[in-house]
Amino acid sequence: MVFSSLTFLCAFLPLVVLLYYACKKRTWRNAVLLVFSLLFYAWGEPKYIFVMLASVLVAYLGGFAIEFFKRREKQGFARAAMVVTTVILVGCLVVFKYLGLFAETFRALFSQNLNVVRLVLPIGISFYTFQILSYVIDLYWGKVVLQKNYFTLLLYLSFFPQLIAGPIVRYETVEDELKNRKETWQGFVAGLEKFIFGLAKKVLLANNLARLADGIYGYGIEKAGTLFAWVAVIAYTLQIYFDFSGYSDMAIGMGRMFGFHFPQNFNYPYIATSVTDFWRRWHISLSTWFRDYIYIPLGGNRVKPWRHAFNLLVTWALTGFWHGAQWSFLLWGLYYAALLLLEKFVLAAFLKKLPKFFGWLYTLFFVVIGWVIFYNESVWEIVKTLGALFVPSGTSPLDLISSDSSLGTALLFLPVSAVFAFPVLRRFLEKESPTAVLCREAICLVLFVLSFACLISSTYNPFIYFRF
Amino acid sequence: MKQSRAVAIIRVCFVSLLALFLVASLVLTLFFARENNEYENRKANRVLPLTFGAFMNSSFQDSLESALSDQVPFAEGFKKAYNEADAYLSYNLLSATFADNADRYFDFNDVSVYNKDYLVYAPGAFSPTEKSGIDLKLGLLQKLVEKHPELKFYAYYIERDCDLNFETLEKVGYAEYVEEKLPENIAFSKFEINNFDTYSKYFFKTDHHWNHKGSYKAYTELLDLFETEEILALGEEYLVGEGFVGSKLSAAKTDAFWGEDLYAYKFGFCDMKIYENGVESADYGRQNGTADAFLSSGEKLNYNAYYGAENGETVFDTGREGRENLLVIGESYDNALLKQLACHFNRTYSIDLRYYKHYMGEEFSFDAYVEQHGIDRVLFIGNVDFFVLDVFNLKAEG
Repeated sequence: MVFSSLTFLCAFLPLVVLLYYACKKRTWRNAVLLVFSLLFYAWGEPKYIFVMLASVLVAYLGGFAIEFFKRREKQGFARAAMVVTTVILVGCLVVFKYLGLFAETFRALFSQNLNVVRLVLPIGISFYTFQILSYVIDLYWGKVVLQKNYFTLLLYLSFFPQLIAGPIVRYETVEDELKNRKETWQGFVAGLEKFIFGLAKKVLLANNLARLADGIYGYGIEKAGTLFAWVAVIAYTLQIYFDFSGYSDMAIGMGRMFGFHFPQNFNYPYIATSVTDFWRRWHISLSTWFRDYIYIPLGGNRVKPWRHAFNLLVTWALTGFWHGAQWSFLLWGLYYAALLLLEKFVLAAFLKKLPKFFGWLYTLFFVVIGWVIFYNESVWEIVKTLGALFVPSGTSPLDLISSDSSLGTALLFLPVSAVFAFPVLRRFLEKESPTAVLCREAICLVLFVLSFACLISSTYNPFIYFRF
Repeated sequence: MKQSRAVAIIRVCFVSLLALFLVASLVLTLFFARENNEYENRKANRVLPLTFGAFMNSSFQDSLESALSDQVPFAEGFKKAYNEADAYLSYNLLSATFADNADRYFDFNDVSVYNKDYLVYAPGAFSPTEKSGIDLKLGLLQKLVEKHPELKFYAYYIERDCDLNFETLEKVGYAEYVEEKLPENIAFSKFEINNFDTYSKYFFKTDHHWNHKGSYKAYTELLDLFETEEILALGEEYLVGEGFVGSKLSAAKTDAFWGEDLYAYKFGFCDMKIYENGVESADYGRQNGTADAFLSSGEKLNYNAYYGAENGETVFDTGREGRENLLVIGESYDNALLKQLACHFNRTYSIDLRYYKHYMGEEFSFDAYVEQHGIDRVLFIGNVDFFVLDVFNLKAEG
């Protein structure tokens, strides 16, 4: 189930809220959240719920083993228990997500007649594996205490707002709130507002930007000419932001509705003035996860320069590869590694002196190029797109528009979206005066109605000569 | 204090409104589901019973999502408003382009605009799936011909917008393929479209069917095919009504920018009794009347309302015992010429295999039907869909 579905909006969410607040005791409230979270997951693909249940069981038992050895001060065994648990959990992710790619690559490289089967990827496995790893590793590091209740650990992992698309909420963040959180009316309304803004970002902006980007890519980026090639990549740049940050906002908003405080996942990334700054603002829960569990354990920057560079390369190669089972994602990760290395070792002083506007322009340019690598599945397609962007060619808007008239309408969303990628509403969203609240709630209602109409209209399926 | 009270009241109203709407959506969908979706002119989707199997194969989940899209309060209003707004923006951004480039296709929602005023389905490539669909159909016809040497068989292929590229005048080749592969004992003819001028003369601007001129041309070509010399006298052309609702308007998701009126010929039809799905009917469609007759009943002025509905079985009985009996197996295109054709036969039976079982309660059996009704001639008539899609195929017998 996805948040932007009618089933979620009209059935799932009202029912879970009603039943949750009908219960008085924390245990019952958690039980409601757990049952609905499992239902939420099972809704799309019932059989893969067992993969998630097994992952939690592995972490749960691994946690006991780590704790057992730590109490007896057998650090080596505790470490071994942590490593074994981590290997099993990561192994599960690798089998489902990457095995098919590895086998295909092996077949292609060595011309072997392998029978490659790509397994269906359990929804959200990349997110929930990283979440549960945070529990196992933090337990080993002594940052969190052993969770003795399997169902509480299962609720942490399966909690529906952040289950399928993040943010990657660490166990440490919600450890206390799983048992002792305080739901407030103000928090509920604030969460609902955030949810609706997120829904509008996804449905009204991201989906229309997707029409534009996919329409031009579908037509053929090399045929579209330089101007429309830039329109496509800028549309995709905005689409991926509104899509992903919209989902994160919905997740964070729903967390608030149930008394949880999830960390912010996006902080206006397109106002960043350096690539380093961009990654402090984009998918924050993922970049900090890699920082804390990969980069720093490897030695971070407190090592010799070559080792620092190596640490960055490894971290960003893994960050790229986490995004999907395609070699182009690895390339995307390495692209950022190269940019960050360049910033750290060459451009740092220069960027500080540079007026902010130029820093912003430089960052945005390289981020947009990054999304070209991210969008395209093969190196050849990346090269084709870059060619379309940088080798000037005439545009043929008529050909393009004749292939899809709705591109004209979708084009209108480009400037609107660009404006909202900047923090133009931040102050307004934080104001608490009656007028501001009234305006905000009215805007929320309008956005909800528009999003709802947009969702419903996608099911349009007329039959002109219906008789029965 | 006053301020915080005002804020609290605003928030209560906001949450209550949303909650009311969402809960009403669920309650209406589960307990007070509507029968029909008027805007989309179809049965409204409803929730399937929840069973373990339905949940595991996701059919329950899919049905709930579809049902909600039809059953929530103002569902049709939401869709209509959104579609109209979207079409309005698209059309107004491009209307000048449509006019300046009349000889080009412009994709518009689920249809294309050509020559500014025509909604058409642009042709694609002749796919292997379509080829195998035609092969299957013609294989079945071959068996029928071999099994019933006593019958005379005819096939009539109707070319339409998706058979010809108006920009390049290249044909997709469906009709040519049917003609090439058709069994020898089936006499063949086709309704030919070679350029946009022919198309615009014989087809509606906003509907996928042929207009009165097209169906009359087909009628005369069929008489040639049947080697019949008498022909029904052509009466005057008259305006049936304004505001004809073509099927492609639904595909364009708006009826605001394209429209046309419905014209027809007056025929001196012979006397006949008409039976629709076994029930006697005063007329097939409203072919004797003007728009007022059915607009007053709230019915829309569309092709089927005037030329006759899509039935499983329609029988035209002229009582001319000395003449032969004709079986027509086709689809909605033939609705517009069945009454004319019927005047040349004793009884004319029209079968639409998509609806036969639904209305008649049993599968259509060609062998039994031919024997029971003393059929002499069999006509297969339709556009590419009729020759490609399995729903139009007879079930293999014996």
